[in-house]
Amino acid sequence: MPQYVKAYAPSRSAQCWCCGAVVHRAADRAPEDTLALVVAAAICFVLGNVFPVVAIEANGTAAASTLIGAAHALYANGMALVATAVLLMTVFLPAIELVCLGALLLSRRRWSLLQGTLLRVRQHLLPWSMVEIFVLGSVVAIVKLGDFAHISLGIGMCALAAFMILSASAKLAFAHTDFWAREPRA
Amino acid sequence: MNVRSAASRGLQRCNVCDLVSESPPGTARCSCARCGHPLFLRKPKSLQRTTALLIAASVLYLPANLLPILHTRTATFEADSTIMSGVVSLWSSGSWPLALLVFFASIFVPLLKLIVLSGLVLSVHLRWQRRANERAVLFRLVEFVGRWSMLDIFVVALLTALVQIRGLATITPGPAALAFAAVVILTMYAAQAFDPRLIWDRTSGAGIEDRSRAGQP
Repeated sequence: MPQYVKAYAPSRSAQCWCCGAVVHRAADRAPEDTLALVVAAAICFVLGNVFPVVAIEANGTAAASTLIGAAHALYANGMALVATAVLLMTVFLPAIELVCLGALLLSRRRWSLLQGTLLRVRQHLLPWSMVEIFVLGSVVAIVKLGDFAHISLGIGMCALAAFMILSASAKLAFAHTDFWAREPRA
Repeated sequence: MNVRSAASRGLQRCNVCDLVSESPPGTARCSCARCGHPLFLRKPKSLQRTTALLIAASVLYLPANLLPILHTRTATFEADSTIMSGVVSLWSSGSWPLALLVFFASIFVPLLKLIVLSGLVLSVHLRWQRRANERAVLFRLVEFVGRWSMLDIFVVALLTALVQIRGLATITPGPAALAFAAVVILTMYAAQAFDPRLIWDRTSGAGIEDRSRAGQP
């Protein structure tokens, strides 16, 4: 339903007075600051993908797994479809989403069609990028294995946890409504 | 409460960039002037698509919970575990917060989604007037928590990757992993296909005249 949104303070949001859904949310950071968060998140994401997430040691044998390794293990055990889903949700879609956000923050006013496309892609991907759920999942896996093996957290796990926090704050700092207001179309 | 919807005033909002524009007369298709996304008053064929996805998801919900999701083989024993037995083993090993987490993410939330979304579809079909507000809140809750159900799939992936010590212990994924992943993905799509504005269209009379244009039966 149409309604007027009054002047808003940063990091405040407006809710629909009928159903309570958030109608408008203001960005709480300048685009340059958000871009810094995106760059930091991208570095952590690369580290999180290169280095092993969890390592175990039992009876003298050691094993470690990276994010991609986890997807590959599913593939190797005949679960190609699930492996593809895991790979998409933890590696590709978060990466594309982050690139879209960075490109949106860098883009200038004349590229509005490109911006629209980037925004559409990002909006569609958002629910499917699940790094934070993967981090929680690895905590569960660690606890499950804790009884019969020595578990250590990898560099990748720390990087992914940092990515989780950085990308969440970048997501909050970016509000596309402000973005359009800042750069109006002629 | 005298409420007029945007649809009844000939206005439509872009689902991507939130730009409000006037809807064209008749059934003409158009796209957003700002971001280029196709515009529609209500998501096209929302109820049909949600219903179809829900049926597919509920069919798969049974194998997802009854078949084994993990197969553990060590030197001394061999065992299959389902989602529920995984929760029980976490609970009995003393980590009850994680047991609760897995229970909510893997058993409670998928079931909640199936029940709530079916209820919402039914309520729109039957044109319920009451408790529209609560139904809208319920929908947002389901939409928000839905993705967390993937947790168990990631746990299975990691366990499989880590425990591959030949002759000592191996963990392999069971058939339920595929069914469960499908349930989560299908219910996420079902929630996305549902248009919460349909809940309100039936309460105030506003927007009902637009149903034929929105592709509803």
